[in-house]
Amino acid sequence: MGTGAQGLEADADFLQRFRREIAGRRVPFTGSIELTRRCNLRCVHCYCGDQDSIREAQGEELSRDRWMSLLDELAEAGCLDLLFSGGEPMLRRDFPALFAHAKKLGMIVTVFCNGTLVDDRVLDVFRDLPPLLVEVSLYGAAVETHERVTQSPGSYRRMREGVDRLLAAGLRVGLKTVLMTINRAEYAAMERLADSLGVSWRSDSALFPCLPNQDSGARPNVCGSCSGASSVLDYRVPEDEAAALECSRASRTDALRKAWESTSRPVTDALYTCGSGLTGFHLDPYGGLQPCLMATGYRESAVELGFAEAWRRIARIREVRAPEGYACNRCDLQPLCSGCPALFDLENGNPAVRSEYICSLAQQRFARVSNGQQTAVLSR
Amino acid sequence: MAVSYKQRADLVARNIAGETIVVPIRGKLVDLQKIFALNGSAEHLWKQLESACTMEQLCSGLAEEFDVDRSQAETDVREFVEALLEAGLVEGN
Repeated sequence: MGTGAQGLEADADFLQRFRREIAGRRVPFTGSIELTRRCNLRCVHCYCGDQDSIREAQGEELSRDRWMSLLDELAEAGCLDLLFSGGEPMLRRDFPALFAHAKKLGMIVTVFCNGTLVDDRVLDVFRDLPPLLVEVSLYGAAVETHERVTQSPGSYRRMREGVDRLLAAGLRVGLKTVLMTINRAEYAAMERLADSLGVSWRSDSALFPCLPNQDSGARPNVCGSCSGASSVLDYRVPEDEAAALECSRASRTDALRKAWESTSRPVTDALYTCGSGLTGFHLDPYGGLQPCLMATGYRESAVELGFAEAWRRIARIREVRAPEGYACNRCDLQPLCSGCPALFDLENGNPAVRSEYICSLAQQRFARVSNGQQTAVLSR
Repeated sequence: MAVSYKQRADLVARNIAGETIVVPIRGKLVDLQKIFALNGSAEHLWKQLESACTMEQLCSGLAEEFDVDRSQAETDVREFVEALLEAGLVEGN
């Protein structure tokens, strides 16, 4: 425009570009909200942990009014990209109202759920104010496998019905799974199921331990049928097999290769190099604000302090320097690695002690994307 | 009678880090992947479009606010309104 304006800008990359631009200004642009950690399922691997203990903390969850005002504060602070998660967010009767409020504040909202509680109240609000995506957890292509993970008879049928309802309402749906020893034989079948439904599908190989939250006492759900698994991490699939499954479809291998080739690897002495506490945040059911889901050690109360002040205080995560000898922030494999200091802390009790499993998985991915033709420099 | 234009009701304009971002909250799914950023004088025009405005009113406002000649203001307003109409952010009646 001759008046000095660029006018209207809109393209698929806008969000990404804008996020980069505001990173230096520490705007809480991307967040996740655990409305509740309660769930009607009892998944063996769940990082929320023991449902019996969590239910006892229900009275401490934020009220609808408190969530409403916190959502107002998030919008005011600059949040645009918001995830409603749990636990199972739809367990809360006020989920439709809270979701609608976030949408009407102009946030772009994604919902993670287990698919079993998609009722007419939820569908009515989704039809009126569509979420960007509803991602439903799928833990097996077979009923028995899915329910061995969820430990909840009937959960597979209810999940499928929920997915069908979402699709019939014209919504964008995705399926996601966590790769485990329990479901590894059905990896391809789960993907085929997603294909047959015409929905996106993704898997995560990086199981991590139960979070050290007070409500669960950091205890995982007791598994009644998984003898031999003494820890959630026992469900991890061996790294070579996990990488082989991830690369069993050319499009995924190509995506990994593209990430490897195009992602910058800034050498830094900072310990936390992701967007947590920079543009990203996580709110727990009791109003605790953290840089991310896993970084529990930086929790501040957004209820007592207000969101803006809590956000200011959790900036301290960005000040943490990596100790001498810490190699992950100099590693060439960063674009292929799903590890981070918060996960290392959960796994090893020290954020600067890497997960050997995650490191090995990244190396296996590298072997697959490079066809053994290149040598990675693990640290510089 | 001149056509007047107005922001659609199913949009939310946000100010994030000094940028005006327009987010569609209803409508076709494909629209939800698109957000729009308004820069400079586009913000001024967008504000005016909170209530129904004709091209003439928009041009006068722009020429006055930015001290530009009338023909430049007309060109800018026409291009901008056409872009808004194409993106489905305003409606005319």
